[in-house]
Amino acid sequence: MANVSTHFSATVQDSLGVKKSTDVYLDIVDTTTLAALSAMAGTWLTDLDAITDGEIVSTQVIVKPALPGGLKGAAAAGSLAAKTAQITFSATGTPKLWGQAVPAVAASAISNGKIPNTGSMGTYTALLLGGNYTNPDNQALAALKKTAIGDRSARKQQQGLTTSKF
Amino acid sequence: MPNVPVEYNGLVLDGQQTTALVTSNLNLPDSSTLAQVVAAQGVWAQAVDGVLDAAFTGVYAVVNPPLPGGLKAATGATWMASLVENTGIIDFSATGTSRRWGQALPGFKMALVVNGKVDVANAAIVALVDLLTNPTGIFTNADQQSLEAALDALLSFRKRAFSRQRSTKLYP
Repeated sequence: MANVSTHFSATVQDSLGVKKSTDVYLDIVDTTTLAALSAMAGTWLTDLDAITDGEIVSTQVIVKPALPGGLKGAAAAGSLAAKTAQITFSATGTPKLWGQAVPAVAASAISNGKIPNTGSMGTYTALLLGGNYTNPDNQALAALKKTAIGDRSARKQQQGLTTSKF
Repeated sequence: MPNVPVEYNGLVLDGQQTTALVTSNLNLPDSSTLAQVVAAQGVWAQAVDGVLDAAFTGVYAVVNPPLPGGLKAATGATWMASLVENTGIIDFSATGTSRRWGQALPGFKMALVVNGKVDVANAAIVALVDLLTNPTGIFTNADQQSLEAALDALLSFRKRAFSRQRSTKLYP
């Protein structure tokens, strides 16, 4: 039983339609359920609502655990975040496909310029299709439709790397 | 037992020191504990790591509960006069540090300002301070140090000129 670093965030909107957020931080025991966490956030929002003239329009609970063990310790030489795999799924209740962007896709996951659904990629897509995972509209992922390799430019960050300072 | 929408996020860093974000969405039963959410995120991070050449530098999960009932709606003269730029700040002490931590409160309720100062004896402020400090050890500052006591409160101004410009634009 350990504690988990968490914070509550609320967005407040005034009469001009201008939004601003406010946050509080918590250190919560990890046996707390999501229902209990939502109830705690609700109590905070009620007390917050009483001292703001604005309208609370949305809320989020952000949980920040430590990185799990067993992940790679450093990026592979030559890896590029811009080289992005697009893994596209169908979802229940919608004809729209949803694509997950995976930056710096592993060179080992690419074969003949394509991303086959085997090995680590197969493990990953099986996880997402194994239940609970959804698109951003909360519709369960149904099937893997296609994979592609794309380029999401990170030019601004890369420019910073090549600046010489005196 | 309803479900709660959750978002797993991971920050990854490539060999050029460029960072990017990986996001997956889930729908979890609200009986799930934080330990289970964190453990499942660990499994997710392992599976993502297997298809990346970049390395993870951090993970976080975002829980999106619905707003509770009973909050004020965007109607009425008081709300019409509200400005999120009018920001109340309540400063707290925290354990293990001499630094104060201030909670920003945008669109501060003007009825709580008496003679130009925040009325710290008002029941609404007392209730919020009580929630954040009793019991101690739950609410913290941004460095996970437990909030101890409210020290002072003030009214400040957080400028939102860009958002306001957009709200006053007229289109023919």
